[in-house]
Amino acid sequence: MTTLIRGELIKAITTRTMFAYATMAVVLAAGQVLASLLPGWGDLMSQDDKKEALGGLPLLVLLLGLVGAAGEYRHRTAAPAALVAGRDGGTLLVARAGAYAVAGVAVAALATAVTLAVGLPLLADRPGPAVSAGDVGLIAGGSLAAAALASAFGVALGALVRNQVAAVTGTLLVVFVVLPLVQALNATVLDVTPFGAAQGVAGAGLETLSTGAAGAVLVGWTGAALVAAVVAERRRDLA
Amino acid sequence: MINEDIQAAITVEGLTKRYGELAAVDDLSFSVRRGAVTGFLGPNGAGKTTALKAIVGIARPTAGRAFIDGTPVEAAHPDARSLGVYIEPTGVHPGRSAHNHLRSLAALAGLPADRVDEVLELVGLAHAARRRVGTYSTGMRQRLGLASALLGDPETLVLDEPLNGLDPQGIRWLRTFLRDRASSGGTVLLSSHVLTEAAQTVDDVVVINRGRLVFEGAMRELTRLGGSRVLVRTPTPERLATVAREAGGLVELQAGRVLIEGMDATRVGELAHREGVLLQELASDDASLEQVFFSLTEEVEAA
Repeated sequence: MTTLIRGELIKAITTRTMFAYATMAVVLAAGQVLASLLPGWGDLMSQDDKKEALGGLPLLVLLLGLVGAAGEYRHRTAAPAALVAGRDGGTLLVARAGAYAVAGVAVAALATAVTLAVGLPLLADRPGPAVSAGDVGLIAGGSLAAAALASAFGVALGALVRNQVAAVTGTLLVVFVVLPLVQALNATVLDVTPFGAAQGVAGAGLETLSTGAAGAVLVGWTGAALVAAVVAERRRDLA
Repeated sequence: MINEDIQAAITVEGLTKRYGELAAVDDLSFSVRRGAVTGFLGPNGAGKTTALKAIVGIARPTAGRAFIDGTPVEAAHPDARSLGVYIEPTGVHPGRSAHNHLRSLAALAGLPADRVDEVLELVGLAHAARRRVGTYSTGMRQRLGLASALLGDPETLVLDEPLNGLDPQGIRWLRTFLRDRASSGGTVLLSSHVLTEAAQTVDDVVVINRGRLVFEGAMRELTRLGGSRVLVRTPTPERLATVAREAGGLVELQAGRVLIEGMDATRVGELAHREGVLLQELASDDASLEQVFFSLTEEVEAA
């Protein structure tokens, strides 16, 4: 499996997509922390809000995995990979999920470094209870864990849908249109969705779930999506 | 069939692939012998690529099976070391360089990274290895596809329309390369929709149309089927005509040329050598071969 993950990782990092996502991660991380901390600069800020300002960007790496996996069918690279490796598409998909989890963690580490570099000096000057070093460590670690799981979840979604445009458009519609509507009807239901749980693991405080519980929910969603994708991959033609 | 003394490198038994009501491949059976180049021929849309996908295991057949070295392909899971595959269109991300594309495949197959430079050199792409594949010509993509098939230096190659898009030098190089591999015991199954193009490379022929087998046998048998014709230019046409008639050929003299039907170019060359007849030109009549191909495929369409 290590050999397969290495091969898939080479694929993941040798196109401009990876660098585009890394650049977006830096810009969005800086933008998010500034947008959270600068408005109402002199006002008192709660500790939860301060922690949320340092949270990660799991949706971005979810899209990274999704675009990468669906791109395998768009560019017809899934079949040659399975052929040279002598493995079925399902096994290759698990390796791909592992590779994108690694790539997602790398992108998240970059984003987290930017968030902390920009956010911590500002937080120190912002009125309100301080965020401890332990809390910062938990948020950073949670952001990396959420990135690994969200990337793998994205790979599973991309493999299930296969059409890159439909997969990205569908995901963005769910996140920005469907889920807010659902949330308007039930304020806490978002917490148990993969997108809400990922935010919870990455530092956003959830109303109904602790960070650990959000992690368990995200692991469940990722595992279920991967099993479904592997089963589908073994039943469908690779090319 | 797979229990023959000399086991076929590839055996296809009752292979069928349906897409809804459409049978792209319909109860197809044939075998590919070791140490030979086998042409998998048929007009565009005959089902060649679909059949090849099912044979190498990247498409699930609706019925039937394919065997690689006697083992069902779905159980064998042959890797780059035993089976090299190139099926159109090339599976390469246009934003990735050829070197990185092959590096990823080598890593997936557990092959040393040095092998990438070797195959790039072999197919004549070393000079463009760091360029993005999106900037490649069709011929360069074909060469890259061939490079990926050769990564593991496999015994068996399955190539889909490998001559498409190659320039004359590339076609000549590929023909020589495939013949050399067969001579050293390798097996090649290559598809083409142009019989005359493949005729100079292949030993055996499998012809399909509308997903069904219409001919399987040696290239020589196919030539015989249509009545082979050989064009000869010689300073002594009458003498060659006499010799050829005596050997059973049907001869026609045409303005200094001799048109011989009923024997192939090798036989005519042997006769001329035996009788001391000087030959200035000796060529198989491709029009005749093409006619055989058309008649085979038209018969199925008419049925």
